[in-house]
Amino acid sequence: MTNNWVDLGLSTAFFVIGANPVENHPASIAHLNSARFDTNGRGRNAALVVVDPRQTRTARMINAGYDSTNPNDMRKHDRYVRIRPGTNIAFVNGVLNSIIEWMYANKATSTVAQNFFAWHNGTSANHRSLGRAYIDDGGFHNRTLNATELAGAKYSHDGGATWVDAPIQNGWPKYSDSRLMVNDADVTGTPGPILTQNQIKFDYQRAILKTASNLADGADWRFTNMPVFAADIDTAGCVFQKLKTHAAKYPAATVATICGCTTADIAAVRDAWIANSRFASSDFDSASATITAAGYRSACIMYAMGATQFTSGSQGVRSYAVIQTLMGNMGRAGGGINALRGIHNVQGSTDMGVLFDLIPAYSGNPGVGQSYADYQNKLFGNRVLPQATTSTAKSAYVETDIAWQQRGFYNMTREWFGNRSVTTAGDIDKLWDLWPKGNGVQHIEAFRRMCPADDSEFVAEYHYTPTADKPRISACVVWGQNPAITEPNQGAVRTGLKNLDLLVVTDMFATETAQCSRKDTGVTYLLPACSHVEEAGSVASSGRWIQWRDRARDPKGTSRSDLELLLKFAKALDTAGAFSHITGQWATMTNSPGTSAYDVLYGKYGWDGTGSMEAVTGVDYEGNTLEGSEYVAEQIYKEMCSPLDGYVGTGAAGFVGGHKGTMWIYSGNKAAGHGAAYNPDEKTNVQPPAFELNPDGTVSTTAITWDVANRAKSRKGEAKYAAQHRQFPRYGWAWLLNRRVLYNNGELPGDVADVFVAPAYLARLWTIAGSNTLADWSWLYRAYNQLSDKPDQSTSAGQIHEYAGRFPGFTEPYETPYDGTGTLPNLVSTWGRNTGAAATEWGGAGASLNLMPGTTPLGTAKDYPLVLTSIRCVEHFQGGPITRNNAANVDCEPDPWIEINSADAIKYGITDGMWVNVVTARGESVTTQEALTAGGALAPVSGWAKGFKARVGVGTLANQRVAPGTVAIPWHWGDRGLGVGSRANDLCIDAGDANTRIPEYKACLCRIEPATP
Amino acid sequence: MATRDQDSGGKFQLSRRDFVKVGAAAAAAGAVGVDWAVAPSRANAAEVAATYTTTCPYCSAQCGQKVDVAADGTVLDIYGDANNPTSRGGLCAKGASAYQLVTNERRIGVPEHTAAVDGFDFTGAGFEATGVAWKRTGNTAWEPMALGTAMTQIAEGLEAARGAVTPGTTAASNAKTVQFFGSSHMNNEQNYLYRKVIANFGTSLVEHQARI
Repeated sequence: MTNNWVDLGLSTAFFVIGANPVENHPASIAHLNSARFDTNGRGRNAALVVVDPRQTRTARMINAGYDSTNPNDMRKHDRYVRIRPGTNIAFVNGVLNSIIEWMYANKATSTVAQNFFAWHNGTSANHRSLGRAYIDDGGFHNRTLNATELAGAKYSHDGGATWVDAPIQNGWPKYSDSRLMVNDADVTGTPGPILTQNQIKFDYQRAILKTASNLADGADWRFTNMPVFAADIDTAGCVFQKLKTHAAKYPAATVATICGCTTADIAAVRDAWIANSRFASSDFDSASATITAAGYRSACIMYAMGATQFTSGSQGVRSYAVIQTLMGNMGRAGGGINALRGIHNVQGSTDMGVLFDLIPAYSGNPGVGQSYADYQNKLFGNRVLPQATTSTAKSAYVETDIAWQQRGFYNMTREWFGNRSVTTAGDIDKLWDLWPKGNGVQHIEAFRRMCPADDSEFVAEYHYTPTADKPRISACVVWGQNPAITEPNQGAVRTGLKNLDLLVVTDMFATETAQCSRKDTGVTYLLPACSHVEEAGSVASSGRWIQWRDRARDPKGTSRSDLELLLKFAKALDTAGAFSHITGQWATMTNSPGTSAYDVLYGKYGWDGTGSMEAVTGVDYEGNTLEGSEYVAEQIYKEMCSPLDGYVGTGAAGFVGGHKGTMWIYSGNKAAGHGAAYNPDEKTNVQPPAFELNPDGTVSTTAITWDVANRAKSRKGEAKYAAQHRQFPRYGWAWLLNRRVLYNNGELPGDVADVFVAPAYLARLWTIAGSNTLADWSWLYRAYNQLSDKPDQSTSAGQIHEYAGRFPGFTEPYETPYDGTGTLPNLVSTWGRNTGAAATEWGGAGASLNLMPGTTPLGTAKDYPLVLTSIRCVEHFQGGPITRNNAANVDCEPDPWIEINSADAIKYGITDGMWVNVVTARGESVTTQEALTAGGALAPVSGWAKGFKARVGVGTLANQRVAPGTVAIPWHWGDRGLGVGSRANDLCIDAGDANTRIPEYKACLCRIEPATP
Repeated sequence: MATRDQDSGGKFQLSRRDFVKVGAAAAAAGAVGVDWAVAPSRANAAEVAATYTTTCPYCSAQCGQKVDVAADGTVLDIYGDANNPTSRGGLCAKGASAYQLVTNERRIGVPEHTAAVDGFDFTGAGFEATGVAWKRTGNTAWEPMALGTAMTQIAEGLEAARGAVTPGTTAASNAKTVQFFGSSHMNNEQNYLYRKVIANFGTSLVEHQARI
């Protein structure tokens, strides 16, 4: 979430596109209803717009009535729009096009439209770029350009051959890149050395800025890669005009055909969006927002897996970012795009980089052949390459020269592979060598690699041919996950699990994964983990709030905390020689960290790995005695916090103000008064400032103090602590810098401009391909990862996907009823399917279907005429172990079901309550599912796979849960537990998004038939 | 179908009837939200030795929970934390069942477990001092063993499966034969530690639920 759960209460319109928060995030609904029914007496009421293939319980909340006499009652915009699964991008682009048309049509008469153009054409007074330090081409830092120097600057578009006055005379854009110019063709001529790679088609236009310097040699200061600004967004060739051209490919009638909605739906959503944008807000012209005023307007998007689980999922989220940025709703209380994430600490586990392409704090894996300095140069911080010989150049090896993400990585390298005594460049390079270079493999491929082609025992269609650099995976550790339910195309997943030589599972229950079918020689271990109340630690909510979990008791029975199991695991690995490459490297260092890998790398967390970890005790900063995991977790938390103003040792004397943490997103900036997530000092006035409310509602000047050094333990949740922000700045801690709303540009009262908008301090509508260097001149700097998308149709000049990968474009799901084989028109031939722009695991760049293993069976509409979409319910959770073993949850929802429209029910001979066999190209719900489970002593209870129990809609077709042609099934069930039932993921397709590899769980093709129970 | 055991709980067990009642009350208060209810502790106040604060183990709203614990460590009830700004004491159908999750007799390694649950003895009885793990070969029955012994066997097995790791900047620094899956069910520190163990082991073969 760019905003947070509590902030939802400040919104004036909710666009729920691909989520069902009533069932899956019920806590949000209290805040949503507070805004809708004005429980705070602000004189305004928020609209609810739900766009979804299912008329969910969230969609059923619309049309609660409204007061037609109150112009601030937005509930008149309530609407449910039904769309076909997988068409989100087409719908959002349709709305975007309609908005842009409306803005131009009403430019002369509407204040809102005039505000729209004024905002995008406006120049920024409070942005942080001008007046900040630049880095010149020589790698010199801290070149502050004052107004005189900027006014006298010259610019070159041709690599320095000719010089002209001033693209920056048009003024720095206030918020987004909508006014930046784009190259329409490759630039010819003789560009300079750095410009060569930048002057390419569809990249930002670049210029070199030069200005007189006070250098002794009299040379100019030069800054390459400065962007070029158009005078206004009506200028041909600027980003906004590109976006306008792109959106024009999505006229309402076309979108209605793709999505199965009406043009009236698109117009209604457009009106709701315009009425709740920044441009319609009563504070549009004011310096800071009055977020509780009746006339305040701010719309947010709420989304979850209904936006992401498609082969185009990343572009779908980008489409939300584009429309919200364009409407000025980013960085605004009650606005933003809010990902309603899944498991309670999925934000935290993502922060910790437990993914094949990441290490903690959103740094990528170090690359094969990459040097330490080159890696550091691509992280958020200071430019450390090219190395210059001057005293003002920065070095990746000097602690005080590197900042933010770089500093965190520097500390992490030392804490993970050595210790703080390692400081010399030579020794740091030795530790750098210990990072595994290159990415792992994404989850779908990982299971394929477990089943090599030379093993004839298994299903031929999932065989994988190992190569030297892609060898067979023969062992697997599954710690707190249940992939035998949660991964798509279980036929391939279970074949892989079966063939492992060694499988280790850690869980609270004997899950489907622990008890999966294994080959005769395969060895499986199961380790007992404890519950959430038996172990301490911090967790990060979807809104980035970090809260502390107390240890209410020691782990029950013979179960163990994850910390104890992990430290035992590390110790056993050390004893087994698995860390010998680390100690071997230490022996070659000038200043060796030690000889025992466990003692150096893990002993510092407070437990020597012998006896019981629960017997460990220690004292926290406030003097409280901490036991077991409560103490060990806090030691680790302290290591993570605060690269810029870290804390070591005990007591205030241990606070040395320097560079100590490993997780840069947990850091503060002491000089700027921003406190870190662990911080024994600065208990009062750190960002964002928080003030006491007096009983009469006035604001006291007495700042609210933090009570504890461990900010995750701060729990000032009473209403008065909401203070000005209504954001509870002293409840837990939020990354970054305790910001409760990201990208805020300084307009929240009491807050300051957010330095994290972007390196250029501009929100980016346009994605650049092939270049990461726009920000080279900037003081705050990082490389960008571009998105990897390339539709397999219509990418030529002037066609609908001309800006493929740059602006979000609609592509059909891998299995779609519009594939031309059935009774519906062929839209695949027009809009194409998504592919990876770079070579993927499965095929070359842009090759059709290269986001899916070639061995995955692909169905067509001729054989499988219905769209299958997977869903969730309030009573059960994800893969099921932690609800399908609870009697209360199982009694409320004992069996998996299928939602179908009454028209389809008649067509396929289904009556309400009947068991239905759902069949896809990959499997069916009864016999093939049973065949994929273990036999012998581990056989599950017989008859567990009965199919899905029919819930047939009643009433008019439009008013039923799903439309004709669509069926929905929950995916929580499986073959183990108190409640069992057919698995949805035996059916789902294992095609993955081009960027994230999130599977297309939300759209595949199926047919249905009555099952024989 | 497994045996339903909804009536097997102690005096604070949430029975089926009670649970449905909670749900109905929430549904009736439509403006507050569906399946969303605020309920105080059901523990006998005289037995409560301490009350702790935690967060709900289900979705990422991370609603606040309070945990009432008796002097002997018995968890008496888990209920909504009224001081939490996100949830204000409310819990949904999942969060309200957290007490059942913690006290669940189907958990492995707890004394309440019975062979009737899964057909195996997952109590860990006899391994209280050493900790326990279970092992099977093929699809044969699970056998308990001391945790330390299991850890040694696992570590040796993984090390053998991994082969040599060569520090440096080549692909040989990154082993390609052992896959790890982590978990969003774990706290930040646990995830951090897990990711560190994997990096120390010499591989970037790791994934978890954020991808799915």
